Amino acid sequence: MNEKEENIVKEEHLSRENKPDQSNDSMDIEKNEGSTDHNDHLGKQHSLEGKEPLENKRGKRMFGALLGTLGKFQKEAERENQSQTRSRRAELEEKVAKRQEEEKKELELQESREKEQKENEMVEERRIVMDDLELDLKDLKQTLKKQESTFLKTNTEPRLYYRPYYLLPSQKAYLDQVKEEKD
Amino acid sequence: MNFTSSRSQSPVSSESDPAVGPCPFLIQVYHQFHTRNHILDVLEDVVPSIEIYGWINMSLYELAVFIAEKTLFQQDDTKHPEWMLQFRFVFHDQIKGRPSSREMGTVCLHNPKLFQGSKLLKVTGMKCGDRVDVCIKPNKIRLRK
Repeated sequence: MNEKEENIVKEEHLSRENKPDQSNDSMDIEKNEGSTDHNDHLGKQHSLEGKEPLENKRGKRMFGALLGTLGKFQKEAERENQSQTRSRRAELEEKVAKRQEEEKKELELQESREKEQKENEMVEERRIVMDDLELDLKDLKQTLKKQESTFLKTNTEPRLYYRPYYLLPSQKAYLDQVKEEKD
Repeated sequence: MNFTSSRSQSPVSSESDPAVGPCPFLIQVYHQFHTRNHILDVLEDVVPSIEIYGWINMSLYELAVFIAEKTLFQQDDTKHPEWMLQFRFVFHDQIKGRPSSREMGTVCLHNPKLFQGSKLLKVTGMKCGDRVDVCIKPNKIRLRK
């Protein structure tokens, strides 16, 4: 009897297990058609997200602010570096400009010295040449004077020199007199 | 317009006699700065001139020295040796029947050996009675290195 009862219970149990499937199918059809279980499930999610997005947003905002501050510091550091490089560059340029100015001044000094030296040389050369010229003039005047003593002069102006082939005694005496006076 | 024919007035014997030497003759010199006189102005004696005694075997440099003494060395501004003189003589060409000129040469006062400084007057073809036209230009001394 007990075994029979147990079998019956088992069958009942089995049938109960099967029934709900059947009943579920019908219910599933109904559910599929107009069920709101998935919506309930989503609603649950929405309710969860409603809580989470705010936190996420806050987290994101804070993260963004953090990044922003980091970026600010980075930019300031870059600016400082740039200003340092700028100052270094400015210093270098100043040095180079100073050096160029000094070189220019030296060159100008040298050029002025060379110019002065050249001018002095030119003045000296001119003086020497002028002295030589005056000596030449003196020599030429002496040769002209010598020739005056060997040639006769006309009385009319401008005076012309001449010498006859045969000199008269008076002309000879005159020339000798002129020679003696010059000697 | 009177044109005197060029004829040597120096005695022939004086040239052959070395003791006597060449006879000095009068040279009429017409000078101008940076330019030359016109031939007719020279022959008609329109422009002022200076008279210099020269001789037939004198060099152009010696003639230039005489000219400089009477023209350039009279004033302090021009009393320096940095001058260049360009010579030509003007005469009446009897063959062509018209006034003519011929180049003699160029001379630098600061260097007698430069250009035609040592050229003699007799070599240039100039004769007694020909008139000399001189163009005076500045010429700087070149320093010897």
